[in-house]
Amino acid sequence: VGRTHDGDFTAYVESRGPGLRRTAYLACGDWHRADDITQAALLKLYRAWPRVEQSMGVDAYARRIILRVYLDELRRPWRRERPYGAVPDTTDPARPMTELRDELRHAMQLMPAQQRVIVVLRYWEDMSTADVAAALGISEGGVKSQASRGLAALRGLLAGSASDAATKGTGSR
Amino acid sequence: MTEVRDSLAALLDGEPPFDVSARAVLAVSARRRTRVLLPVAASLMVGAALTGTIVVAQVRNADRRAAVAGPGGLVSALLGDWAVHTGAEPGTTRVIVADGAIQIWRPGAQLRGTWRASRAGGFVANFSMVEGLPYSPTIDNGGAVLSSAPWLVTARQFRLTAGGWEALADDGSVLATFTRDPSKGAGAGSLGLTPATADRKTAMDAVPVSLPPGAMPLTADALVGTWVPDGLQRGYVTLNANRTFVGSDGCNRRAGRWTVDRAHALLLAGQGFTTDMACRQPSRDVEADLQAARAVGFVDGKLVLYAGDGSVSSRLMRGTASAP
Repeated sequence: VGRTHDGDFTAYVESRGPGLRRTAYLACGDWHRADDITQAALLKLYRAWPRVEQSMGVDAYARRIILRVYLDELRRPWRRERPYGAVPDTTDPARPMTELRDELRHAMQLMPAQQRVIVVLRYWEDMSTADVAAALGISEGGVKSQASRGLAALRGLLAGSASDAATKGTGSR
Repeated sequence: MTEVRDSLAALLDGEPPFDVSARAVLAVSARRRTRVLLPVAASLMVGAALTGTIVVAQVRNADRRAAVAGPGGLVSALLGDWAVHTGAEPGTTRVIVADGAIQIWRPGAQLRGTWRASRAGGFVANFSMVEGLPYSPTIDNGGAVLSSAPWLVTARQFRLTAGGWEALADDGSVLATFTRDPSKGAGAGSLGLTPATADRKTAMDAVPVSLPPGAMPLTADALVGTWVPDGLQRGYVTLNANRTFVGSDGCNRRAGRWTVDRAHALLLAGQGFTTDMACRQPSRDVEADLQAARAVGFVDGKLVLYAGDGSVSSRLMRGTASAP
């Protein structure tokens, strides 16, 4: 990877890195792990940069490897300590976390890892069912059913109107 | 679907600063490439005149990139026998980093102490012996003796480089650079220090345990002060604003240095007991508790110490230093 590519890559990380880490955080629920996942994914992205940059699919590729790195990490549980709780999401000791946010975080962590990843890709990254299926190497039917179950897990925690709207969003695009 | 997205966005509230820099990624990539290239270079010694320029160029590239990487990395990478590069030291000074112990070797003088570091880049070292003679914590706190190695005792962070590591001040400035000294193959074992086992290296490099919900992360400013056991036991630790600490297990004094890393973890490098009195009253070695804790956070104004399984191991509250 040459110096020109290094510059392009650096600019990309500066502009898109925080967003990629947010995706990783929503999947893993831990900012420290999200940092590790993001760095590992960016390392893979850097190696593939000339090829990916020319294919005009950097964002899709980056999202895909973020979540692949996360799922791969889960398959090697002996290589990583499991956090026993969520990282407090504020450094302000006087600021309490809302009850809804705690329940949402808990509900997300109760989902199977792949289902959580599908929820993040479908409803956070706004990817189509087909794109999610391609990114994870599973069938579109599998994406639809898992997204539906993921939404059902969240439904009880959201306000009625939000639940209704979310349920409508489980169809294929 | 918008509501679902909004709900997911709510989980991101309080997002910490983005800590992954492209420069760090470039540095890691360059280091890995160097690790591959160096054995190849060795096998190509016969043809070095033809191929050496390529290899050397790659290694220099790795140095350039690694030098701008962010703080942190594998803590076990700091272990070893290092040549020190800083304007304040002669070229012959060495630093030996072993399992929990650290030594500075100069012609005719040795400083001995302890160190702690974290994956998030935190680093703290404290020296309590010089040429085998203990010196007073009072002098330690005043900096009169430790000023002989300010390039290490004022370090708060470390950064790995292609050739070794750097000790950094709070503001990120480089205090000293450490490179592997190929002429010194002795290592920690031959100097009476305990070499780190594979298990110890794994423990050093472990990902920090997360705080449970409800516990708030540490900040240095909020930690300054005296902390005592939440109960009737004697003992305390006073964390001073100048990053030194003094304490007691109830009847023996302790001292050292402390810092809080970017991941809000507390690091303490103590000097052990300056006396060895048996305690007659119920007492608590607060420093040892803090050293053993896998996570520490604030809950309702108290310091709560957690074990590796997430259970609360002890609580500390603000108090006064009443024990000897």
